Amino acid sequence: MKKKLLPLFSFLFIVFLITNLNIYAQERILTVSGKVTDELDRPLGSATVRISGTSIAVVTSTDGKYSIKVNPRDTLEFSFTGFKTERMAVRNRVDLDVKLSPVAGSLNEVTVVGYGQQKKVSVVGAQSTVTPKDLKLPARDIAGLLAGRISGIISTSRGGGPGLDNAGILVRGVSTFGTSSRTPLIIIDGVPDREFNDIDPEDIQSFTVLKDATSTSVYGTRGANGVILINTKRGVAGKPAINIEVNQGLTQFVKIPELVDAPTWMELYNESLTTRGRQPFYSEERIGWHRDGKDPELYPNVDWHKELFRDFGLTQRANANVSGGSDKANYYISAGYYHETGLLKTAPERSYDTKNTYRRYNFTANVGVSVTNTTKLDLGIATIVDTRNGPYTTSFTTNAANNIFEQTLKVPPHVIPPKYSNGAWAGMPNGWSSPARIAFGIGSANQFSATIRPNLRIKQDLGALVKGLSISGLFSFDVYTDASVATVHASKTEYAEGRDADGKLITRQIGTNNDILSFTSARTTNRRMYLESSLNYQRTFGRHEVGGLLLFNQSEYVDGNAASFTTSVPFRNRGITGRATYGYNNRYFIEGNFGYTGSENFSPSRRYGFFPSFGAGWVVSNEKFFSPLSDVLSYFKLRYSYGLTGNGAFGTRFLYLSQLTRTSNVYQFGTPSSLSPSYSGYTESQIATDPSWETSYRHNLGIEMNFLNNDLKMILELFREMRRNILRADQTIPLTSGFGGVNPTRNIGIVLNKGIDLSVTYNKTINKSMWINTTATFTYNNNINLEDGLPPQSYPWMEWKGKEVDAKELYTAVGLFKDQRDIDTSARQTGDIRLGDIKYKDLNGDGVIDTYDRSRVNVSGTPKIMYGINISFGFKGFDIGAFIQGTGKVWLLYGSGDGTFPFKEGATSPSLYAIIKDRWTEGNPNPNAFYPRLTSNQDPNSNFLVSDWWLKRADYIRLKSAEIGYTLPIGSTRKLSIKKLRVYVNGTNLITISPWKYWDPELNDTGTSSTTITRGGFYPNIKAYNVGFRVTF
Amino acid sequence: MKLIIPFCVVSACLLALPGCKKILDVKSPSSITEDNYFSNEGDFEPYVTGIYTFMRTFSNNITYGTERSEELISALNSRFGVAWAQTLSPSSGAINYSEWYKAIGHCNLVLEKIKKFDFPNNPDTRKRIVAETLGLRAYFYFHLTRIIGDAPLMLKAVTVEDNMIPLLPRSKAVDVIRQINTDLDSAISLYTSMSNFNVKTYPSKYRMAYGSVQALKADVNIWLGKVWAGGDDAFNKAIAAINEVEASGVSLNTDFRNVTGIRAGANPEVILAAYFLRDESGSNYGLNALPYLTGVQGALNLDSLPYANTTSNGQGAYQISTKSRALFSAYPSDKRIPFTWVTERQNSGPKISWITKYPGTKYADDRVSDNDIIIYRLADIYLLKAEAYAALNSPLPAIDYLNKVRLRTGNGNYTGATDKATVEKEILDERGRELFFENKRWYDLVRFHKGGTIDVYKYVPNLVGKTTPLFWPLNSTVLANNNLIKQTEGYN
Repeated sequence: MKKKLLPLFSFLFIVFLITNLNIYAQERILTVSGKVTDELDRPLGSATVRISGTSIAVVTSTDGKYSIKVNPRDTLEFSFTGFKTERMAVRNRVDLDVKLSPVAGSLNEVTVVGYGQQKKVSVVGAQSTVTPKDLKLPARDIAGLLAGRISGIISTSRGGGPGLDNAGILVRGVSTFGTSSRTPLIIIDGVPDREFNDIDPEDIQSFTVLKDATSTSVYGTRGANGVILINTKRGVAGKPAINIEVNQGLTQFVKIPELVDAPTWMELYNESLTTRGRQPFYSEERIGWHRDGKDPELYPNVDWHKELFRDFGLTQRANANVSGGSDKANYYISAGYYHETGLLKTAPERSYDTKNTYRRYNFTANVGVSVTNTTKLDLGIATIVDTRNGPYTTSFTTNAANNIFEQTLKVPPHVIPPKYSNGAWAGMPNGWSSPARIAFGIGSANQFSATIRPNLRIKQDLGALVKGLSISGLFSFDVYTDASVATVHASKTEYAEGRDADGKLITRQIGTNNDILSFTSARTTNRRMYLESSLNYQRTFGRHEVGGLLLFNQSEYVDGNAASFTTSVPFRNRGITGRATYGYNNRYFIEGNFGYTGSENFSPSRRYGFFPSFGAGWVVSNEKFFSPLSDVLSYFKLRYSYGLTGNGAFGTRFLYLSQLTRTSNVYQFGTPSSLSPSYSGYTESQIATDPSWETSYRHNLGIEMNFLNNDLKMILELFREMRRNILRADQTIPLTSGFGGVNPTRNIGIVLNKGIDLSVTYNKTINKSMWINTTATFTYNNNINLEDGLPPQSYPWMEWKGKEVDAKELYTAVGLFKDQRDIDTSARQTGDIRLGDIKYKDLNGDGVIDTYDRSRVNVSGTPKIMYGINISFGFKGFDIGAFIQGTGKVWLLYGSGDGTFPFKEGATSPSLYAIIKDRWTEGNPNPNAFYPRLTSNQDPNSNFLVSDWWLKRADYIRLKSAEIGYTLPIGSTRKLSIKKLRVYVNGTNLITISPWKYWDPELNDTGTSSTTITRGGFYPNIKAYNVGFRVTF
Repeated sequence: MKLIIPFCVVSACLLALPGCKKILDVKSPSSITEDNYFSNEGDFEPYVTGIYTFMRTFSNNITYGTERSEELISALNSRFGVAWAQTLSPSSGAINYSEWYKAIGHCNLVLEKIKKFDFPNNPDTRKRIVAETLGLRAYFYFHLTRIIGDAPLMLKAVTVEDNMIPLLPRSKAVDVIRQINTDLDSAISLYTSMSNFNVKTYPSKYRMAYGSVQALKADVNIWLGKVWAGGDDAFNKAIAAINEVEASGVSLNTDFRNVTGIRAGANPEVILAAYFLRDESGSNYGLNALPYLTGVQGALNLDSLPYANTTSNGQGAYQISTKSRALFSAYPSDKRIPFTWVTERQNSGPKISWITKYPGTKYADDRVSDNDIIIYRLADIYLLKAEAYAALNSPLPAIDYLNKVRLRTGNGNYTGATDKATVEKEILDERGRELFFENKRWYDLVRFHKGGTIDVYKYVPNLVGKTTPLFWPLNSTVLANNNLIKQTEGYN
């Protein structure tokens, strides 16, 4: 330990030397002058500047300037009501500009808004924040940690394995259709379209979600799906502060769905035949051989999960950062490391490495310099480098971890062992090969990616021209590149057909093998340029606060690997944005915003859109008449906003141009195209329309209330969004138009989305050694499709209009058939129908169950309710915290496929989940069994129609994280010049409670199609147990 | 005041940014858009060529022309769906007709766009292009009405500016056929008005020409006469059209081997065909009928089997049915037999009867099923003429034409009874022998069923005991898209 710290100490020592050299300077009297400002760079008049330990003090003038005579060894104290007092050593400096930060909860508190900062009290839009500290958990993807932490965010983690487990993020749910983008705009350090999944949470200064029209209309056609603003940390004036945090954890699957074993599978298959009047397929004797396991090669009984997955994986996280600076320059430099080893076993049969690992390195540097008294320059550079290793299955774009997990559902337990004793992998004549072969025996892939994103900001104060005016510019150029290499081979598979007289296995080869290791590779690259310039105005005239912003920006994205001419055209956006704010006496606030933005994706005449918004706020508690109530209700603010925003992100480009492409089926009558014009013909691949962006019309009402002397805070938001002009392929155009499958896209969809966001916090320091912090959030939304571009349906229950955007199309199950009379008197269903089969409702009463009996049902895999409660409690050095998160109004449609649909290929059908043990049988005719009467491909019937029989509630509540920490007393650590040392243990996804018990209920569908089903075939989410320490020097 | 310089520079730079060039005005991403595609006369030829790909696709689809007939049974594996099993229903095997209307829409677009072009220097080219397009449109509508019966008639080009694209109900099949006849007659008058018109001109056997449009007209009118009670007028029209075909210089191959063995371009018998070539189009439907080597391993007559080395070139899915083979039982030495099927002989005895009608081409590496698919050939037209005469109750000329086809088979002239019913049954059987696996059989059965010669519900083994209608159901997409469209009769 000591040896490792040595370089650190030397580094520290040098820093100390540099900063303290002046100590030995000769004593003399200096005149120090400078300017005191708030975080918005507005001058603070009447602030006090005092020489520490004396009563000598001066007061700043209205423009924040001061001048005081001091001794070089003196320290100055800067103080002002509502702001934290700042102390600075003089050390021979004659210019000392000081920025005071407000006391939390005071009227001067500042918050991040779109394209800038504002006083928190003056914000009239709906926005919420998360404490970055809460995101420091043993997980790679911070998006997955947001669920329940911020009101207004719906976050869903769908598993995926190390490095591929990005969560889906929605702001206030879904308000659009089909291929229109549903995801929010992400802005990091002022630059749009940066990925945030892989930011080291340690580097985050602020994390803000903008939810309503007035906060997002400045983003114009990009704002309708909400905006997430992330700013990374910057240095603060002072001695270098060094933080080091290291932790190490064990991981496990949240839940592994249980599969049946070989004897059970075979008995069930027999039952599926006998229960329909057929002879059993497997003899009792044969089943016995699988059960006793005496010859596991010919009569296997394999638990594929055990063969492929270990019980534990690993995570490691480490970060070291240093920050500091003076009034002229500041810096924040950080290096982070994240490592995860997946739960897939490693047993490569050749020289390649199938170890399932992910490593990520984050480097972040933010440096700020005051070039002149009025010019500031900030440079930020973030680099994310990651590398992922694991098996290679089929292609680089296939998620191998998911694929291998799916393999365990595919191959049943009784057909082949993982490997034969002769060393060959097992395979089946029907094309299955041992999942173990796919995991360990066909190759490995290594993928590397690097993201480099520098941004340079220059800010010039124009106070000399007009007081309160400044201009700033921002330029960034982000580069992403990745490279993948794989070593692959087609290892031999054999199938054992019996044993010869000596008991030796008789095998035959399945498929062709090519054992020569071959190499394959792929790479992608893209780049993004962003340019912004803005004029800012902030000034206070007595009780009047006036602010303004006029901003121009443009961006360009180039896909360096474009596969077609269309995608190779740069993606560009350009816009002008403005804001005007006015506040009176911290009581009344009004604000108007607009975005005028355009993209190349629309026709020249419809390229730019104008998106105005308006908001007003009233801090009732600052009114005189309110003072009697202020003991109970210490802060009360009402605000309302309304405005327009747009969404121009759509799957297809240049819809305003018809595109004719060569028919893929070339017809040139055998004439080589080199000799004559190639007569391949042309066909319209896109029918031009003249569409534009979709527009969101949003109302938002916000109520902020603080009780108990601001200890208990509540923010309630009610919103109503009407999204119009949603781009939809116009299905009312008859098929006889000849457009074939490519119906023209028009602005026809309308969706109404309504909901509530609520957050409640209670923070209380009870006494010097005891505190409690509690945050609870609640998010609810409900959308309705008002217009979807579909022609009128044959029956009202088939209509999508009036239902949710992701509503599913389901048959209605009314139970299992009870008796023969029931069957005879019910509508005709296809196939072999007996007691215990699912009975469907004949909605149109025509006596037949067919597609006209499917109805749209308001269920989807995207939760409508998401909530969380975070409680932490400190006593003396100890702290303990727990975060409970849950979802509500979410459904899972148990799908038919590998693992779920029994015996659709007869005796060579895929494996089955053990939940099939809960089924209707003649011996136990349970009307509420999970599965109806078994059936096989011999007697197909309608049990597996996509119906609400298979629809299950997937709400859950889980102990998402829990942590216990201990901060060592300062006395014991001071010797090592350590300011603070905290050790902790924590865990994630520890306990889950859900009506869906079979697999992690969060592994649900993403819900964009009306018939999306779920089979649990993902590499599951993980839970982690973790220990770590954090030290500050 | 020294600060004024840096801040002026910085401010000037920042304010200058919005003045950059118009970055959003990108060039058209595709050099070809509808607005600028039909810009000169030369643009029509390639577009029409492109429409022929639809003809190739339809003629290569045996679901509609063959699978519901008695011709095929499975061989090494089964490729059959609900059409073969005769279990079509609105939810299974139902048709989305958008592919047909896509082809028709292309024709409509050409006919619309060419209005603005007079082709002053090549008036004949313009006539030919319009005639070919009309011929293609007639082909597509005929293909469709044989499958679904009543069909919407969409005859105008749709551009997106039309906000009102008509919602059309199904027109009666006879009206569809009337439109087909109108198109064909227009095409015929365009051909005959060309300055260099010659009945015998086939610029290409792969494209619509005077002879092939007449052949199509004959087929259409016999269908009208038999299936939709078109009366003697229809049969007379067919005979008149066939007279024109006969005058167009086509002649039978003396050796039946050459019917599919010689490419259409050089084949005297072929009137219209779809072009197939290994590297251009890939395989035709014969692919499923060719056995693969491992599937016929050990056959004593391996050399005479049309096997491919790999399963990608021969899928071994179908063989000729016993019922189709039985049509030859009276004529064991019919010269067509070796070019219709060959029975695989294993040590254990005869096994699968492999179809040799479309044997593909044996290349150095493997056999590839890339014979041209014949749409019309003279023997087919002779039998159509025989059918028309028989329908007109003129058995003797019918037998004449039947005998023209029998000439090269070695079976001798027809000697059976000469009453209408017997002759008609004989014509059907002769079509079964002559045109086996040429993707015509189901339409033949429908015609002769409607004409009273057979009861298709007793004739086709899979239809026995079923009531599946002769026309296909429409799928839910079609019905949901247009509420004027009613489900095909018999599926409600």
